[in-house]
Amino acid sequence: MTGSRDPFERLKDADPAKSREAAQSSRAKVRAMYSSIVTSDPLIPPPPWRCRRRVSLLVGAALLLVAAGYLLFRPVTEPLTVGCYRTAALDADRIVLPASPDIPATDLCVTVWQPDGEYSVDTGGQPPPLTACVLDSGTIAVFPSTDSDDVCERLGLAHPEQTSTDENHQIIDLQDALVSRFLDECLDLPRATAIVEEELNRRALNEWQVVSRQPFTPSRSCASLAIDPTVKTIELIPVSP
Amino acid sequence: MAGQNDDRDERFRLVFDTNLSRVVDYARRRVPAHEVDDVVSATFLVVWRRLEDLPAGEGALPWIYGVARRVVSDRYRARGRWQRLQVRLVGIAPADVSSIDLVSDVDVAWALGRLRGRDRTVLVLAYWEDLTPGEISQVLGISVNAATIRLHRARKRFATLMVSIIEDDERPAESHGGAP
Repeated sequence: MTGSRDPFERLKDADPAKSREAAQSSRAKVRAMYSSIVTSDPLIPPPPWRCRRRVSLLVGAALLLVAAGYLLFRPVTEPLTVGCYRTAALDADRIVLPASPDIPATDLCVTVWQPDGEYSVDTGGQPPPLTACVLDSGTIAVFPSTDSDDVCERLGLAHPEQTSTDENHQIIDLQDALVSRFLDECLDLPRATAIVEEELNRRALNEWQVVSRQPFTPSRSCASLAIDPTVKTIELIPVSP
Repeated sequence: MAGQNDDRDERFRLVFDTNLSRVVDYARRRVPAHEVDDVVSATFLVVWRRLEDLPAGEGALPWIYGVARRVVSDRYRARGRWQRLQVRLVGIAPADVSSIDLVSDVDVAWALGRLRGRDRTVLVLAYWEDLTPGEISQVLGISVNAATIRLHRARKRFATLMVSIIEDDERPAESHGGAP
């Protein structure tokens, strides 16, 4: 009976938010969500003025270094994520991907340029040449580039240093192992802690610590995790089942 | 200083109350029911932290949708990546693929499933989120002109697919709902 109706009416009627049973978000639940947000630190990601200042400082430092003729290399101290930049600029749109122990950063970023990737519209699904640089934060940033252009140098950034690769590989591998185990099931705090300690011990990462700052409750009883290599800490965070 | 914080809190409260139901609906269209709260919470957490960047007035909702879109995309990307460890990433699930599984009209689901991701995204924003091309352009970070053209093309492709179902009855029974 629906066959002869206007396709766009049918599309509108097919809206899952209409047809699915309305989620019963109680006032208490909404208030709890609101409270958890406004009690968090609003300044965790630097606000724009700090970003701009950082960019200015980077560019300034870069100019000095380039003028002195240095070719700068830096270790990757934040190996767990890769920033894929849309253009060769520090303030460009970027997508952050989890790093892979097996896939180089530039290959990871190729995916966002392929058909259906977020940047495919820019190049018709043909990935441009990509170059990995190291940001001030120690994270890898991958920029579109040309064969003749040293984009890292032009942006005042360093090239990734190869010497830290083994250690970083181990940390990325740890992230992979933990996330795959955490995604499989809802882990309560004791079980999650045991699994993290087991994976740390397996890699002899004895200096690392496991912390949990937020309370686990019946509505947020499953552990998620955040890994911070700079302070060698894994935080277990309560999320809903 | 306290006054500034009070103003910030008050502005966020207003933004939260005004846009909560729209963000909940946005999430419901794209993720399973048990993940809706997490997407909504993560979206408003970004809004809270970047409140100074939030456009005033009518620009706020498209901006918030843009944040929600990234939150949802991140979840798919993470799932695809982490559930297929050791497997190369050869195609990130577009943010709106999951919506096909949630559509009850099998013909619409079939047609959506055969559209390219970018066509599906723009149609869903126009017909489910009720956004204008101007608002879609803000969500996707493209020009209004590009959004208008993309919507026009997506409409045409969708209509063609729907007509093909009606006229030719060519839909294979086992294939509806699949991604292209």
